[in-house]
Amino acid sequence: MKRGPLARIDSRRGAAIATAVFAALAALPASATEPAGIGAGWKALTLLNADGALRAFSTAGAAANLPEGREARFGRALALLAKQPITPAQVDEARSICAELAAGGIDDAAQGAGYFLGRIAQHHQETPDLAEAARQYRRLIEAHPSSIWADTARTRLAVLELYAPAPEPAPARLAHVAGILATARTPAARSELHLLMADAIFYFGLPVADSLPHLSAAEKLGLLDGPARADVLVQIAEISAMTGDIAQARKFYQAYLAEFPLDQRQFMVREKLRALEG
Amino acid sequence: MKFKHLGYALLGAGYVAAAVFAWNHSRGPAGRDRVTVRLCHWQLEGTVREGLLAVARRYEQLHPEVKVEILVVPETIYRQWMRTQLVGGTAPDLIEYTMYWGRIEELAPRYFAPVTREVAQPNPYNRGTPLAGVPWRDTFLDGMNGPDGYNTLMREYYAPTIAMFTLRLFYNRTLLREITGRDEPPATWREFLALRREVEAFARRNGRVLSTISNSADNSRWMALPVMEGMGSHFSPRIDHDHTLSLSYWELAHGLLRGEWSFRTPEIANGLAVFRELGLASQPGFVQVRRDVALLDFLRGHGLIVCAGSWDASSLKREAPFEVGAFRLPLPGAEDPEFAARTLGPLSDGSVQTGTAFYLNKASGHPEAAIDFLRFLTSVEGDQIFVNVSEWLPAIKGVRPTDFSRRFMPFYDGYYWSANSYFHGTGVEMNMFFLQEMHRLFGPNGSVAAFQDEMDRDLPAYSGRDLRAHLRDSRQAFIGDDVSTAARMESTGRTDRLPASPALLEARHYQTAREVAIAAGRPQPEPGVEAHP
Repeated sequence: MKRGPLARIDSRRGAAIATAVFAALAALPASATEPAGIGAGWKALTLLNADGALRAFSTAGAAANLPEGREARFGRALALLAKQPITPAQVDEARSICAELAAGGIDDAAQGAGYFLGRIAQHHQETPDLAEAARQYRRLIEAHPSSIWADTARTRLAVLELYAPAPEPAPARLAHVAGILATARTPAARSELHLLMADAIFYFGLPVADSLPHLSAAEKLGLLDGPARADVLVQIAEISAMTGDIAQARKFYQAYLAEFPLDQRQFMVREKLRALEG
Repeated sequence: MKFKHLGYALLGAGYVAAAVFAWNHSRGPAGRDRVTVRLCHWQLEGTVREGLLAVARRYEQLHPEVKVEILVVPETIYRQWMRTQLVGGTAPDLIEYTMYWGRIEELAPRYFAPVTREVAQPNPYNRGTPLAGVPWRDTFLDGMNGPDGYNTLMREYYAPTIAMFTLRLFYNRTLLREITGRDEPPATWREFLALRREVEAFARRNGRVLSTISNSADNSRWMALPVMEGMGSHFSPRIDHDHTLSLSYWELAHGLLRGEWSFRTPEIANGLAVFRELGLASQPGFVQVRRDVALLDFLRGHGLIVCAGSWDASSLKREAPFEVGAFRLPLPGAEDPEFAARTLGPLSDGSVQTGTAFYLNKASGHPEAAIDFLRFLTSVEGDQIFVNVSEWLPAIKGVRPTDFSRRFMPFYDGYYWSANSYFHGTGVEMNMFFLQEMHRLFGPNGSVAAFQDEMDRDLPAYSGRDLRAHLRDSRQAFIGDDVSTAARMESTGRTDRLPASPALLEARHYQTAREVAIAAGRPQPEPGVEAHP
């Protein structure tokens, strides 16, 4: 019986070859052996599956010097912030990784890590440090003004400017946020900042007419989801009516009626419209 | 010796039989290749169980490779049971839950999977209907914008719903005729008060155990909603600070802390007075019993009226040995001699909002199959099957209510400021306190003043607990949202949304922290906020 070449390999040689093959595979960059590692990690984290994410990022992060390694480190930091039960040691480790990434580059991982240094100070650590959070957001905005992370930081900084303890009166706080709004790059951030300003005007009892430009701007940006859009249409109509712009009030009441036929305010808005027309 | 061996043999045989049974049972009767989708709910009313089963059987006809197993757990133990199953990793694939039970901020990110991507796609089971090609979420009557459909804190769609509900007063038409000679229920508040006098006189005259309303702690809670909402609607515009023509949780909670409203506010006090009259028209001791007792009392003819949701309609239809009618609670309106000055007008049933929501268990072994069953359950065909059998109102556009359930369709031409009524105020604790102290309105020495005194004394402690829990939960939600939104952006590369919770929600969090600090008398720079309590 003719024997094939493999049959001639004895078990000791076979074992040596297998070992060599595994060693060679192990020496390859993580991204080559586990092309889906980082993607799988992010996917797991979208569902807050921190354990799955940590496994995926640790596989992908084997080559820490490559860009994939930095992204995997960033992923690991975020997974640590989600792994239940969240311990102070985990938060500390996440903060160290973010600090190292933010200081060690200008890539997406550095920008995201810079943003998370602010978030960790604001919400994730046991005792929030709002001043440190604001400092981190400002640093990120200055270093990477065009990044999506910086725009997100602008919205968080605006919240702190409006509501963090400080002796400044409400109008001065709103002026700070107007300054932040002027530098925001993305429509998403601009929309959020306009809504924040309008809401702060209502909350602090400032003249309601001042909210109108912000509500109109948010509406024009077109990024409001269903319930938020219904609110803004009603708000524009109501404030327009209060400030005497009846044509605009009518236009926005009608837009609301047309777009949200099943909303609970239909009757009230129809009554308002009838009163304007009467 | 022989017997000893026989004993061992029997024991062994028993063990093998039990193991085989357990293995077969865990495999399910469906066989090796059949996937089992498990769903749990607590709806024991009327023919609701049968409705869900009918949908499941039809789905199994379409998909012989799938078995749908439905678990019904009584409402009294449902939450504890669900928690245990979730923690133990043994919860079903699809879980009925409602955010009105609270803790959804904590439950949703940990245990439930969002279906945002899925609901943006058309529901394939609507092929051949006017809803073909329509995104799944837009096939719901409320566009999935209800609190269970869309979670504003997580900015995710979570739970498809199967029905819509309204609250009605069901009455024993036969008994009404016997007492009054009339067929029709009262149309105004004064007519209701007159009816109560007639019922009491009839009961005395005939020595009958009879009350105008068969009530319970649950039923009175449902009644408190329209009463407090309706009577408060004249006042509500005064705390609508953001001019949305609706009251948010924050406007109610902050308003309470700031003293903008209390149970002494004239309109709210009027609500208490009306609520007290309803309590006095009920059987004594009703606050100590649950809704099944009220229903039984009504079915036995000891009560003329029972307040229930359209969810109980099919139970009443099936069980009542008399003719049942239904009407809306007639609240005092512009014609009322006592309350006219402080009422706005008709009260609507609120916005179209669908319920009986099924959340996808994040740990489901077959999420695709579970979602596919949800798609069928909420398709035109699936919801029609459910509605036909359960007699509940539909949640899906184009599905027709039955002739019986049609009479419970919502009424929209009226005022409605908030789903968070004044007695909910700050949340679960305040709601519990309100219900726990209701007896001060109705008891032998009960009065509106006695209830108000108790609220003045202890409400701050309860609302404080609510707000601290709210701040804790919202912070937890931000923490989870930080990670999941950042991960989503990294995963999809989409930058049209910011990788964070809406900034407005964080603003509300700090506004609440500020209001709590001020109410507690802690020094607070103007305007400012303390670190998290």
